[in-house]
Amino acid sequence: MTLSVSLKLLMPSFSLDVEFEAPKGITVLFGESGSGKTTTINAIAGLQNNGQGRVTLSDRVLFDSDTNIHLKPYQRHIGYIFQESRLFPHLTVEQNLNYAKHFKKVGKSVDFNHIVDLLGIKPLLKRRPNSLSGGEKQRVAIGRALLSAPDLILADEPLAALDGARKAELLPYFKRLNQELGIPILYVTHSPEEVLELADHVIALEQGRIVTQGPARKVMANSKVARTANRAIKSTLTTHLVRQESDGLSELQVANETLYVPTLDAPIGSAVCLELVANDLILSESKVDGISALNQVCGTVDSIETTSSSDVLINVSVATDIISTHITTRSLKNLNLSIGDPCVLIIKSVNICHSHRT
Amino acid sequence: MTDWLGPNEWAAVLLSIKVAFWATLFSLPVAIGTAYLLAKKEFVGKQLLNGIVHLPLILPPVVTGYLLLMTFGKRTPVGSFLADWGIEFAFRWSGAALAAAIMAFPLLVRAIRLSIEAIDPKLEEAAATLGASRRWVFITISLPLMLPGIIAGAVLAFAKAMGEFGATITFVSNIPGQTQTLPSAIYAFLQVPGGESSATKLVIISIIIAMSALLASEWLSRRMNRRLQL
Repeated sequence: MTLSVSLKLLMPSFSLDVEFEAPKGITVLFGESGSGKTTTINAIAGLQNNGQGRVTLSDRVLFDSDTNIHLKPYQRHIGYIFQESRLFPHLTVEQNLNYAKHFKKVGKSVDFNHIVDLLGIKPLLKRRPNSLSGGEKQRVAIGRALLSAPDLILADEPLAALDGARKAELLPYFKRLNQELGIPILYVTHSPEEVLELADHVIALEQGRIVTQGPARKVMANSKVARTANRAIKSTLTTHLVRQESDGLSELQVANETLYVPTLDAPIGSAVCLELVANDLILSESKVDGISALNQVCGTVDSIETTSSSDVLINVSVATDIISTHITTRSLKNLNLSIGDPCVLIIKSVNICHSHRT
Repeated sequence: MTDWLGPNEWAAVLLSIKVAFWATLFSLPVAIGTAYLLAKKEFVGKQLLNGIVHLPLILPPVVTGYLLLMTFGKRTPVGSFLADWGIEFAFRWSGAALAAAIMAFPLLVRAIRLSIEAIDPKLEEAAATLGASRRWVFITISLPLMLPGIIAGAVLAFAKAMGEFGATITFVSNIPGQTQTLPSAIYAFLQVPGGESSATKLVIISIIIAMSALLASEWLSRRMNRRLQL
């Protein structure tokens, strides 16, 4: 099931012009508010006047301005998880979950109990939406969308209205949904954390245009996108825990490189994702002896981006990841680096973003 | 109770309830449709429709009654056409119901329209993404959510229909046992010497009916709103 979208939309104060494909897996539409994320998925759902273009879901045409095909939202078989859950206040949780069942023609169905268990909402079934917490509401909304047996799930910042703890609690559900049910998900967010946690594929939007798209790590390392995210440029490096040392450090490995971090409470062999901030990295031609930094990683220059008159961003590929670091144009000249050159990243500090068993 | 009220008084009370009941029942679906149209759709002549709906509220009731007589009277084209089908309004209790329905209509439309406008269209969108066509969205989402407005409007319309006097007496006159509703009866009793005690009894009954209708609607809508809170 692949979604392919090509849309041109002209509104008084805003124009949208996007073209992309969302293969199966989780595709994230990323951008700040007003970048056209919600407009895009509303158009895919049929909730927005479509303008010009074409939207297809595998071989099913949902919208085609050339042949004047414009399926109504209820004909599209797309589940939509809204930011504000939008549960029906006059129905119980159970009735909300079963709402789509009444309109289902014969065809595929989803196991009610499986979804209820997956989302942990069994104890809520008899309650009404007004008595649920924000996180509970959103879990019910996810269940309601899934139980309509959709061909595609659209999620519009489904966690934005929730506090940090609730977010962390709900994020894994999206991953599991995708893994267990195999429904492609198009997920809208402006949170880089959610992108890194969820995305297989990222489409970065800015003012109605696609800035860049591709695998999550690569897109998030892109300086333009990072600026969109309005944050320090961070990259992630996936490593494996190989040993617990006696001096309070854990030994990690990526490709042939060894790194040390304060003891991690994780089983040997688990994958550990490290977050590296561009300004906490030093770039060197070769490994340096007599330095307090424990972690030095070899890589090759993948690309060089000019960020200002005095600064450049060097994207270094290490194993399968891309790590970005800031250096001055003067340093770039001194190091005489060009694309494809080997180099060494000296890492001053790392953050552990998460670790899990592989 | 039957001893306390004379047969004519008793007949007037029952007739009023019957008239108000049918007036409310028949105007309800039309009012829901009209309110929905006015709340949700943009069309040419919307302001005109809105004006016509509200006309009975601002016209002197006697004018409305006279217009009804001009339209549905036995010798008019509409009246004679309907008479062929066995439907007669002029000087019948059904005419009183028609007059009451028309007088109550704007109140009904206003209450329902407000409740439609209070429905979050996002809920209707959500229902559409779950596979509900326009009609099913209306039946399963919009209609239940506008129920508080419908009930409030219906109670208001019922009370208005019970009390309708001007249009009714103009259109169907004041025939005891046939078209004499509660207000017409009170008016009639006040015209004859010694009718005050009968009039007073009917006034008390009017007050009781109106108050209970009001309290019932308050209670119902509070109950509904509690259930519907987001």
